[in-house]
Order: sequence, then structure tokens, then C-alpha cells
Amino acid sequence: MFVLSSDFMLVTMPDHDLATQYASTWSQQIIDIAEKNGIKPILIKGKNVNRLHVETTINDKNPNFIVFNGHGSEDTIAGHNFEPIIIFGENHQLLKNRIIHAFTCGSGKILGKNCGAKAFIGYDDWFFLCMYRHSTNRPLEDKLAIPVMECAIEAPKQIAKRKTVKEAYNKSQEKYQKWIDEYTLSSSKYTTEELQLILPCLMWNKTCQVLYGDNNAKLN
Amino acid sequence: MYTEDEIELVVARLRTIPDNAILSIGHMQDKSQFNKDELIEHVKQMDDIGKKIIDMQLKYVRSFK
Repeated sequence: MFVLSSDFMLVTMPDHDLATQYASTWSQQIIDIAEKNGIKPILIKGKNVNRLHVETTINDKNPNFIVFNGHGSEDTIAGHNFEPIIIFGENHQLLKNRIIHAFTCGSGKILGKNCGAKAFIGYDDWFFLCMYRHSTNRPLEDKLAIPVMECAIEAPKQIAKRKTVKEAYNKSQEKYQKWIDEYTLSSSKYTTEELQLILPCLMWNKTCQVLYGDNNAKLN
Repeated sequence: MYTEDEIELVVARLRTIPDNAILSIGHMQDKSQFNKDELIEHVKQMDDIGKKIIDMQLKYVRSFK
């Protein structure tokens, strides 16, 4: 088992559009859990989520756990205003021997699989997030977003609880399935119209979630 | 790649979602959030976004087979 000493957790929190605002707002739950478990969070917010700042922070603070929030592609994780901050073939070695959670589209496919991280949890295709226009100023209370966000952040929450990445991945997958089953098999507080959007998002995101690296990796 | 029936099915499903719903996509593009009418338009145009929305909806529908 590969155990990492866990002084620092880095969280990128861009907020230039709704997707990044939601992901960054919800990430506070991960930060709270980390602090309760003796992990020091380092937060990079808004315009500061640029390549130079991220690279410098990783090199200076040497975080064992990094949570990336933002957009992405097969070989890239982006920061503020879609600026690429981690690019496979350019600076992916910054992820080496760390536990990574990438809440981004597609970066699991090439970057996550080949970056040399101790473990990488992310998505190998597009990630879909549904939301209500009238709730966008209250991301934590957005009825459409809650199921999708709760499932997605379960994995980094478990890592912050010092669970292994395999346990974290499984818990997240279980949560996806629990929501899908609950909404599919029984009546719920959601309307049929809402479920026409939520359920396909949940099923798609569940299928695209990937784990690479040492399944037993965890923060010590 | 998709049959006309499949596209019609996805459009029909999208027409039923709430009018004030937004779908956000985490992929790196100039525009990352779409309302109901925009989603339907992308599906009809069969561009990259439309194809991915079709894939997402069909994956769910096919899960019942």
C-alpha cells in the first residue's frame, strides 16, 4: 500500500462560468472535511487559477492531494477562463506521485491515465451538470444540480477522510447508482420532466468516472 | 451514425425538460451552458455538442433494454 503523508491539499476554484462556480462552491464541503482530518487546504481562486500560479504552488507546497475544478479535455485541465494549467506532454509531471481528483471533462482519458499520479480519479468523457436558471446564485440549493454534485464530490470527500482511492471511487459510484435507482424505481420529490434531464446526466457521469493508479493509495 | 427515430426520440425527450433548466458541459469550449432550445438546436444540427447529448440520452434509454 502506498501511503502519502498528508500535509497539504490543493484545490483550484475558478469561477468564470456556472459550471466552475458550482464546482468551486460545492468544494467547500471537501475543504471542511479535510480540515477536520488535519489536512491543510491551499485554495487557488478565481483569476489566480492560471498556469503560473498553479505550477508555482505545486512546486512550493508539494501537496499530496490535488482537487482540480474546471473544464478540461482529454489531455488538459483548465483553470480560469479556460486557460490550460496542466497539459499532458508539457507539465503533467507535476502530478506525479500525488493523489488527483479532476472534476473536469475528459481529462481521465489521456492525462489521467498517463500522468504518473499515484492515483487519479476523474472522467474520461464529457461531464454533464444540470441546473435551474433561477437557482444559479445558490448552487448548494439548486434542486437539479444537487444529485449530480453530491455524486461527483463524494470521491474527493472520501479521500479527505483518509479512505483509499478505491474506497472513494466505489463510494462515489454507489452514490450515483443509489440516486439512479431511487429516482427510477420510486416516486420522488422530482417531477418526470426534471428526471428526463437528471437521470441521463447521472448515468452518463457514472459511466465516465475513472480511477487509475494504485487503488490502495490514501492520505496518511 | 444515428437513425432518424433516435434523433426524434432525443428531441422529444428534451422538449419535456423544464423550460428554465440549463445543461452545463465541462468540456473546453467558448460556450459551456445551454438552455432547452439550444440543446434541441444542437441535436438537430448534429454538431459535436448535439452528438454528445444524443449519446447521453440514448445511453439512458438503452439502459432499460
